Amino acid sequence: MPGTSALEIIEMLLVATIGIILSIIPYVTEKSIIFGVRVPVEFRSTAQVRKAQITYFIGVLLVTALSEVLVFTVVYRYYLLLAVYPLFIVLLAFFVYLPEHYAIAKRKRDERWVEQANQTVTAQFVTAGTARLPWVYAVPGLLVLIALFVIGILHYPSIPSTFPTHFGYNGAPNHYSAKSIGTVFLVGFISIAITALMLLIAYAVSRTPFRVDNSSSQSMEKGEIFRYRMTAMILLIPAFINTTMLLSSLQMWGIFKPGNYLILSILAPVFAMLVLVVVVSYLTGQLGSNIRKPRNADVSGNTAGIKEESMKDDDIYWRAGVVYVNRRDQRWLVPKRFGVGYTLNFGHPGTIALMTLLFVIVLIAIFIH
Amino acid sequence: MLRITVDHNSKEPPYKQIYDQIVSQISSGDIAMDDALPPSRTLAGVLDVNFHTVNRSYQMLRDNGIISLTRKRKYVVTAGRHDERSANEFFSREQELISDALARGFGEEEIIDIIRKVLTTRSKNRKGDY
Repeated sequence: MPGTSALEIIEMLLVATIGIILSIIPYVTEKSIIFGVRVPVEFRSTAQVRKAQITYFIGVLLVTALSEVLVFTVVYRYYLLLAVYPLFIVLLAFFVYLPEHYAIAKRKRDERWVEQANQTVTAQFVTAGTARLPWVYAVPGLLVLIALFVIGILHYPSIPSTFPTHFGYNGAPNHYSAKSIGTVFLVGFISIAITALMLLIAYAVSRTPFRVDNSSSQSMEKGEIFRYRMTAMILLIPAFINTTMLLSSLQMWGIFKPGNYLILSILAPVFAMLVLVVVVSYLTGQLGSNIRKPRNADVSGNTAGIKEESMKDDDIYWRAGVVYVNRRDQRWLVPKRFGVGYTLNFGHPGTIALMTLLFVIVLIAIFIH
Repeated sequence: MLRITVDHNSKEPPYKQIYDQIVSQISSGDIAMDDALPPSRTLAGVLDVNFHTVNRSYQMLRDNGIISLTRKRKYVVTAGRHDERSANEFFSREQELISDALARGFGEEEIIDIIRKVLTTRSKNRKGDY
């Protein structure tokens, strides 16, 4: 394709990656959650579930393919659109999800699935004894961060008094800055902030209690493995992001020569990170639902012998099956319903405050840029 | 690791289920001495039960000297008061159990064996390996 810029390639890869991730979500949720609806064991007829999953899967892939075409023909002209385009894909996938969600919710109401089901709830907490954060996963990211500053300090004298700080999509510099600690290490400082944020999120994720899926065997053990893997992955994220930041700094400092596809190699760690997150998420499943044989299976009298039972219905707390609102729940973070990972409790007063703060920060960032 | 299951179909009231499970996990070592239990609102929120239900369980645990409320308003597993009063209570509960067993024809040796068995089959505190 003549004149395909690096930016177009990145955008296409991004759209494709996001589209694939979104399309397989139904295959990684808890077994008792079908398109954001809690379905008792007795009513999970496999045929109906599979049909809904495949419909969604194909629907999302179609939407993704359509979006790819748009990247080529329309989107790449508008620089600003490229940034929000991935969010647009998420929105489209959501509209593929919604009809499935409401269809099942309606069947559940009409056929009165809840009245006939069992009513148990199992909560899993981390106590102080088991709350050790697996810090080892944070080490690579910290090492890269240290390397960034060490290289920068050693190379500082060699940086010219004005140096390129922004590069166009074809790899050529299009903005220069006066040399100062602030400009030379801006990317480094951003890395520190991101690393700190990830550590904070990992801590919050590792400490948040959750309900396990009673209708899955060995749900407690699987839940614990899930918690551990999520925490470890979040601690690993800075390793990838900081590498990208390091490469970007090296480009700015003239240690990497600019080139047409340099930007692809700078973003490669981020794609590697996405691949890791997707693979681990798929193999683990939400709350460990895709784990076959948990290696930490306990044979104590406590957890052995818990029958696969339906859970107490908690649909009322989930708007459209994706937004959790529960004022009586003190948790900030709760496991997602449709996806792997965590989401915020929007019934928690602090969450609204946090969202506002983030919104303000994003506005400021855009304004600076 | 604290794990609580509330079965709303069970004959046992929820507060009793919570109480029993906490006691069981403390005795098996899944919850260690000086560990803090989650605040009652938090536990109630995650378990999706009434806040007063959890409070009732915690109160019972406090009354029996199993946990206590620290100055920082945390519920901490304490060494427990095995003072004279709780020793007497334990004694009379044991008396009932043993009288019942004797009446069913269990011999003294058998009873002691069963007590030993109970003590040794508590699960050890497992460190997870993943």
